[in-house]
Amino acid sequence: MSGTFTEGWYRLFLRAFPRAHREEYGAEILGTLMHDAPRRVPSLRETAGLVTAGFAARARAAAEGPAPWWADGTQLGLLTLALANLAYGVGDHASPWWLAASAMLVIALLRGWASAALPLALAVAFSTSRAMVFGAEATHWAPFFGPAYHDWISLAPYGLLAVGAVVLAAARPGRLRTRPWWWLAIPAAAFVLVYMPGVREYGTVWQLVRAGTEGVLLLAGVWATAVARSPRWALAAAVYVLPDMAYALLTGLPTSAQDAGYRLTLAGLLLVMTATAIRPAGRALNSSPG
Amino acid sequence: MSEPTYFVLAALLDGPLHGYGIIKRAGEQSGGRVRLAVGTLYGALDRLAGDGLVAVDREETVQGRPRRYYRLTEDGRLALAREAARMEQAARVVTARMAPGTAGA
Repeated sequence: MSGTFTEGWYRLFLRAFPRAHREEYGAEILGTLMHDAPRRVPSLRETAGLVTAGFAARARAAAEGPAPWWADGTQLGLLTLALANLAYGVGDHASPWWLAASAMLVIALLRGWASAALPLALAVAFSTSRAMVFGAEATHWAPFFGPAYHDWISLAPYGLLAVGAVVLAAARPGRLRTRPWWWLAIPAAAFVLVYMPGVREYGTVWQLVRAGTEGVLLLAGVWATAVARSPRWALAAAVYVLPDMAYALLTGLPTSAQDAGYRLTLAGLLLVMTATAIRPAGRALNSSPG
Repeated sequence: MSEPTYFVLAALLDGPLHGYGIIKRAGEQSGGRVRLAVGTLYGALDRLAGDGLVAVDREETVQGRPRRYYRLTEDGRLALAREAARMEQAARVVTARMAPGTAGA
């Protein structure tokens, strides 16, 4: 391996940093990494340093954004609910109309368009609750309606989605964040899992991918909270996890030890994130000096 | 102030240094305890510059690469002195109670 490869390797992992940081320090970081006679093999320690420092800088940049923490946390929490709604729409083989409306809601929340998200969130909440509001026959309304739920507790995430969208649109908290497109990997994965031969929707693979994605995102939230000391990620996690926990608590005991373990893990990660947001800053290099 | 932050600031006491120089000096002065990864150092320098504790002293180009030298600001020097005094006081709590020759016994 040559110095060019090593430099290319570090350049790749430099992308963990936000763009502004890369523009300010990128060339200098590469220069410092390559300071000694060019290494034949990239250092794993330096690679890990780039990744952790890069994501820490991203977490801090997120916490210093223009929107207040509650608005940013609400936006992120609603985005996760909208992503789950879209993924389950794909799993349910819902009508193209429903998938389009669900996808538009995801995009509106992803790009921070609060006024576009509001009518879409209200429409999704209206559609999912129509059987409870108008009676069971409403389940079979026109095909552009998506799945209808027949108990209030299943509607908790959709109610939260609508209330959150109203809060974001009414409070006008300032410019919401534009989140990256890679969040769309979640509905893309749902498509793959539904249409891949040999994989059954809502089967073991689906459940494992879902639990894995939730676990990774919640762990990333704990880490971001520890770095940037902002409650925004705990709020977002609460918006996503609490409706599901309410469902589990009100509908009885978990169906299996696996199910109980899964729900306890989500609740535990939410608790850790909340405790981390409240706890005073530690004395690591990542904390502010002074 | 964390130990790595302390040694990054202390590395600049004798004058401006570039990133690689800071990593070397912090390693030497901490007896090898503080081994900063380059990414970590520049994350810390960005925050220390944001807090006004360090500033860019000058920039030069070496073999086509930018190389900036960082210096302690007056606020940085004060923060470092305060931290040193705090640690000295904390150390005295222990050392004052230990009779000579009993340390490590």
